[in-house]
Amino acid sequence: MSDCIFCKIAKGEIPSYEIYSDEKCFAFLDINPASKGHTLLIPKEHYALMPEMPDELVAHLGQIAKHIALRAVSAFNAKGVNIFVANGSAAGQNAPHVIIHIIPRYEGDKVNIKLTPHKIQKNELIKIKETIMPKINEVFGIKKNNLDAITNLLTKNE
Amino acid sequence: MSNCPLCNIKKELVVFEDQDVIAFLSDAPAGLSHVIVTTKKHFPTIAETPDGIVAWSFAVANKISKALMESINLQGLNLLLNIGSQQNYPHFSINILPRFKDDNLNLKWKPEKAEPDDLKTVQLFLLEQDKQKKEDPPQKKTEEINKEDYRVKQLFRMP
Repeated sequence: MSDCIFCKIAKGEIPSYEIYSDEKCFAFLDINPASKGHTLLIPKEHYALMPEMPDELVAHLGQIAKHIALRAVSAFNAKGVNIFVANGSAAGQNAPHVIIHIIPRYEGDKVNIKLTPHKIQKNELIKIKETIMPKINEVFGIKKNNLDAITNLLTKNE
Repeated sequence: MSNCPLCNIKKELVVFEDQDVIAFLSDAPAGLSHVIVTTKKHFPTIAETPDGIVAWSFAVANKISKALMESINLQGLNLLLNIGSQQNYPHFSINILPRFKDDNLNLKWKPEKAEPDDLKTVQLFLLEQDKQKKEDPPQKKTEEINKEDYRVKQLFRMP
């Protein structure tokens, strides 16, 4: 996208503190970092949301994110790392381009990324599962016919 | 590992599995419809997880993200992979977190402007690490490398 800042950064049209680059992706330092070594990894091609990206590209970015995260651990002796992606403003996305945030974590830092576990009833989980399974089977290419066969097998085993 | 929760996932919560990767609805969710993608084999962190399996886990997480966006009324979606001090489980995993209005999930930080000199130093340190890695390539087992090739190949075969 011609007016996207991140597309321009990836092309080198806007200078950045480059960390990594290959034919598919580009990584550079966040100039307003959450912590020391906070790196942004982006696809060179413009995508607004990660689920719009081809799975192979997401897979490639995931591998690169691993190596950048481990580099930060050995360079700065970080105690941990968050690899974080936001899709949609409700999730905290504030750029029009997919960004993988790689945030090294240190003792006593001010980053507030934390998952708090909640209790949930088993029947609620089963209800959620029933709602999402048709689409999950669809994205993994499991056809309805195969599904019936699998269901039959499962009922037989129970 | 017998005492690792991610090595003992309840069958009824599984939403996808193959020989390497398994995804399930968290029974200690951070938010509604929290799905966790993890590996069948016990890898303590991403560092020990072979690249091919990391790649495939991300692809699976992306496929499930798509499915969630189309099947539940979410307003956003986060992926969060925690390493080291940040891990909720002693096993490599990716969290898929559908987001809803006022869901009280705490996934924020305060950006603070960094000085160009500091950024330059950080960049040099990170690039130096990369150079060292290239000079001293990690010793991989042949088995692992084959597995990775197979994984990557399979990825391109998926519909």
